[in-house]
Amino acid sequence: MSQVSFPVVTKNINYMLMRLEKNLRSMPGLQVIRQGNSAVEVTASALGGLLKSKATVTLNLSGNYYFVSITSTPSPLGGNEALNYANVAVQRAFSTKQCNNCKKFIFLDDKYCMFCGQK
Amino acid sequence: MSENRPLGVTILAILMAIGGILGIIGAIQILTNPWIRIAAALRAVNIGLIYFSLLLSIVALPIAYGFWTGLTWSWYAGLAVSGLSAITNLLQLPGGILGLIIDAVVIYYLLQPNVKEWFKVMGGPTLPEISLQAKPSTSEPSSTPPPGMKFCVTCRRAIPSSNVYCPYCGAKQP
Ligand SMILES: [Zn+2]
Ligand SMILES: [Zn+2]
Repeated sequence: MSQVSFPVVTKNINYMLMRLEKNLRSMPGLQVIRQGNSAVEVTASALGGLLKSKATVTLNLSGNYYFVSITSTPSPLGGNEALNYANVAVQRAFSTKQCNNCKKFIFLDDKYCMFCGQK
Repeated sequence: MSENRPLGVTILAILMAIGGILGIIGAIQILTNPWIRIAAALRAVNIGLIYFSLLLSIVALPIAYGFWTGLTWSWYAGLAVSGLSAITNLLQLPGGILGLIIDAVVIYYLLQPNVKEWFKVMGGPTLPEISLQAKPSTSEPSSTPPPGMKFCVTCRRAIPSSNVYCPYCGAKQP
C-alpha cells in the first residue's frame, strides 16, 4: 500500500472522487467503479482480460490534508497497470498550487481561483 | 529518442536483425545448392521447412527495424511471432522446452509498461495530456447536480457548491 497526501482545496469528497474518476476515464481500457463514499476501484485488463490488475484509491480527510492510499492486486504475470494508472490519475486529480492572489490552495489544473476568481 | 529505448528491446532488435540476415543467407545457400533437389527428392531434407525459415528470416528484418525505432505495429508483430513460436514449441515438447521458455520471457518482457511505452502501445504509463477543463461536461447539463455540487451559472460544469468562483471559466457564482 502506498500513501500520499495533498492539502485540502475542498472538503467536498464527492468532487475529489469525481476529479479522480474523470482522470481515470480519460485513460484507455480502464474500468472505474465508485466504492462507497470515499474510494474508487480501478481495473486494468490486458490480453482480453487474461492479465487483470486492480487498484483501489481511498481518500481520507484529516485536518488540512487528504490522505490518499492506494492498494493494489497485480496481474498473474506481475504487471500492475491499474496501480500505474491510479498513481498518475491521483497526481493529476489532486495536485495543488497556491493562488498567487489569495494564497489559498487550488487544484493544479484550475484556470481560475475558486475562492477569489483570480486567473 | 534512442536513449529511451529499453535495453532488452535493443538486444532483441539486434538479435532479430542478425538472425534474419544469417537466416536468409543460410536459406539461399541451401536452396541454391544443386544437391538440394536430389536431397529433397530423397526426403533427406524438408524443403518446406527451409522455405518457412526463409520467410521467418525475411519477416524478422522489418520487425527488428520496428523494435529499433519503436513502431507500434512491430510490438504486435513481435508478440504474434513469439506466440506462434510458443505454440510450435509447445507441440514439440519436451524438445521445445528451451524455446518455449525463451518465448515466454520475450512475451512477458514485451508486456512490461516501460516496453509498451517505447512502442507507444495503448495501456502503457505514457498517457495523452488531458485536463479536466478540456471539454465541458456535456452530460447532465440540465439535470440535478451530484450531492454537494452545483452547476456553474455560465459554463454549466459541476463544481463544489461552496465555490465562489468557477475554477473552469472564472464566473462568479450567485
Ligand atoms: Zn485566489
Ligand atoms: Zn464555469
